[in-house]
Amino acid sequence: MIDEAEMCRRAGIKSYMLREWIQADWIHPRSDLMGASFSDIDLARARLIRDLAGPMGVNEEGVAVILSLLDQIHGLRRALRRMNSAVVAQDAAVRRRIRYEASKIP
Amino acid sequence: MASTDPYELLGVARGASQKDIQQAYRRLAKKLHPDLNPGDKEAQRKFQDVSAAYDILGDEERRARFDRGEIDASGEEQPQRRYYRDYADTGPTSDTYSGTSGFADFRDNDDILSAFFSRRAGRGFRMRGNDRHYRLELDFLDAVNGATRRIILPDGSSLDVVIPPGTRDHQTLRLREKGEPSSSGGGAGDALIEVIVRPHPFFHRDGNDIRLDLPITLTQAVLGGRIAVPTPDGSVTVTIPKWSNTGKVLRLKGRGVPSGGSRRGDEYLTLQIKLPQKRDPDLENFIEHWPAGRTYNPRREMGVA
Repeated sequence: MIDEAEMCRRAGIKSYMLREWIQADWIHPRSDLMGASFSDIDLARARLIRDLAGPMGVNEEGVAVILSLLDQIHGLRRALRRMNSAVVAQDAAVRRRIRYEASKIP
Repeated sequence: MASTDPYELLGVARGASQKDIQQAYRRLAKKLHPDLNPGDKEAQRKFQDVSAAYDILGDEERRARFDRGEIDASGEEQPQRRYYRDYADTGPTSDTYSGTSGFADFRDNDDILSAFFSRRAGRGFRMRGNDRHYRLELDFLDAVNGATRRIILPDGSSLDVVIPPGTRDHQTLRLREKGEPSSSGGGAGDALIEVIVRPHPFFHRDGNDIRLDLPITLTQAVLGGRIAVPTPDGSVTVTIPKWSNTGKVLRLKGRGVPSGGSRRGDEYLTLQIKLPQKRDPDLENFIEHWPAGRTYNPRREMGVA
């Protein structure tokens, strides 16, 4: 786990920014008696927000919309990945029928 | 090989204004940022090229040095960055943020697709609350026989802890979901309670057995007799055989520590002959005229008289 100071250093952000992002519900640290702590996914997400809000010039509302859509995309991608592995596990005949049915949908 | 000229990479003229350069970068970054293109492997390389170009041209001073040929376009090699998309699609933390509430329409009815969406409904982030750690001091017999104790939590609320019979010193009891609530709609953490067992004045625990030094009188040692003996769950009557010496061990089967399921332990009594506190002239007189008391040498094995 990464503490707040380390998180800010590695993400290249100021601590007030991190606190604002947590406040905005964009980053979800674990908190305990020792204070907030962060994982690798939190760090990667903070860097994404930094890119968006910094050099890419996206304003606060824009960041919120982007994060929400990205979160949905990743949920969808996970579902697709699960479905793909379930389809791959089928017999060739079943996979053929699935492909055929899929091709009928406009 | 792709161009490494930062002006070409950003698609701007050499005389472009800082504002033009910034706009060009933003246009490209929004198209190429790897996290906005989760499945596109190429996006990462392209984005890095564009970012490196903007590192130089986005800063007026660095741009001037580049234009004067003082620095080249390669810049410093950046350590490989792990993008958000690398965590968000797969792996143990992948559903930390992402949710499937946007696809609730797929999950209606018995649709087979529902099987492929995460079972965690609504917004994805549902981390369990933290565990809380407590210490609880217990009397010896409460640990052996089981008990219920109420602990008062820092926030003033209380928690009833059931101590199962046979609880050991330093054993940790886990109360599911009695720890910190989750800040994100997940389950609460557990309460972990370390039990400290106070020593008992005369019982000692040895695994699931109880050991006890049992004082007896000289009369009981010589003539035997029935005496009351303490056990963890009350006193029992025990027959002391005739001529029982100090150090003799008697076993009380099944009078030790209850252990869930398996056999209850035993209690072992080690006899200790105790003379009366007060001197007794009759006994002294008898012993004075008791020859065997002078011929028996209990220290013979130690090689002394």
